[in-house]
Amino acid sequence: MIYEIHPCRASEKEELKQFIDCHWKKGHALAVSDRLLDFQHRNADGSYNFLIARNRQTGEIDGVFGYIPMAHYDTALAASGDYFGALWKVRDDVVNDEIKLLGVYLWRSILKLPQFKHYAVSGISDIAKRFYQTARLTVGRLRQYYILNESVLDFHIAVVPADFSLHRPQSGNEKSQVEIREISLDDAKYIPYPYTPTKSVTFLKNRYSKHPYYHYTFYGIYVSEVLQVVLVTRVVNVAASCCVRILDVYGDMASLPPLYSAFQPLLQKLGAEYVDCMNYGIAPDIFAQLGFEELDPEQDQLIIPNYFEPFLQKNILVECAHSPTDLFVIFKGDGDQDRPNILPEV
Amino acid sequence: MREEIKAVMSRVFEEPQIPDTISTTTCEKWDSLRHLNLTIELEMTFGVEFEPEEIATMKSLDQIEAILLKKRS
Repeated sequence: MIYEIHPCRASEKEELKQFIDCHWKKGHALAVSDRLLDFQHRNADGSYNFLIARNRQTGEIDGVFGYIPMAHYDTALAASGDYFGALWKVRDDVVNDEIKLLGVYLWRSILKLPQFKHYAVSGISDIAKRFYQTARLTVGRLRQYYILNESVLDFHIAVVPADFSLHRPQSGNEKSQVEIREISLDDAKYIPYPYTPTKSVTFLKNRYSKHPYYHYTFYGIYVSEVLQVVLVTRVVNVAASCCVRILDVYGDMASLPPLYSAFQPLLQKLGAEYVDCMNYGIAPDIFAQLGFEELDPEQDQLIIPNYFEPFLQKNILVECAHSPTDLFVIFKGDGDQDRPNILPEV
Repeated sequence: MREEIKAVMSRVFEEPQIPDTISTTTCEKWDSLRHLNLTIELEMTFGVEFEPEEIATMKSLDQIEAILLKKRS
């Protein structure tokens, strides 16, 4: 066998960065920012969460498979065995007897990682989708939900057609019962999280509070003064406008009353055009009940963008795959989907 | 066993006849997707689980048969 596959050693970091730069994308954020690469993939022992396929004959790296265990952000989650996939690439410019099987070899090596139980990935290409279908994973798409700011007349990030009619749910007395306010994550430690992959408050702190580039804000949803759910959000600025993205939700969304009216003062305070949330696994009915509208990225004239670095004013279909397990929930913030693509110092 | 392997290959590669000499170099349809499918179908048919290293060496009917015989011995 030509290939030796092993987790990336500390001494292989520069080669890994060079591989990403040469064979995946020139100037890729992980290739140019040690801060980002270390934050997402570096372990306490100095190794990196990438499988390296080294060609014994040439000594070169011919393929890599990046992954992010949930335990990367909270070691207490190791026993849950949940892994997210990241950058996966086999070189196009190598010819040998084994190169066309190398992708499968790497994939099956992922399944042998310590305490592995579940795998998920989002933002997959058509080729990856076919691969994961063949691997008997469940394939789906992240649905995108939004609430527009009622007080905004001119949209610069979203595109709102002239004939668009604002859906304003009947609010009843939701406003008096529900409040959305900024919180410290320490307030959230008693909230149960009922989904796979397993999450924790420590996970949220390490994944979001300590991010080297992005600033996330945590909002608690209080119902009758009791904290029910935490929203992990990030304000995204485009020129003089901004929007609020919900990148993760910690808690059971099914337990919440309608939120539409509670979001309006927050959107007005932030001057945001809208709030949106991309999710797989939570029933669309639950989002509808909360007052969110669902975007149809392939049919709607309304545009709620998903790519901001660089800004792309179009709807994007985001597909995902996961181990066939019930109650599997994926948000935009999972894996490496919410990371900078354009870095400030580069 | 050889005929059972060929039956699996026939399904995976959508070819009615599988020659004894079939390999990744002689079969154009033997790409990474079909290799993955072949691996999973063989595992289900023979009740085994291949190690990643074995998957990388399953490049011909002869090699697949040798690996399966070794796993079953």
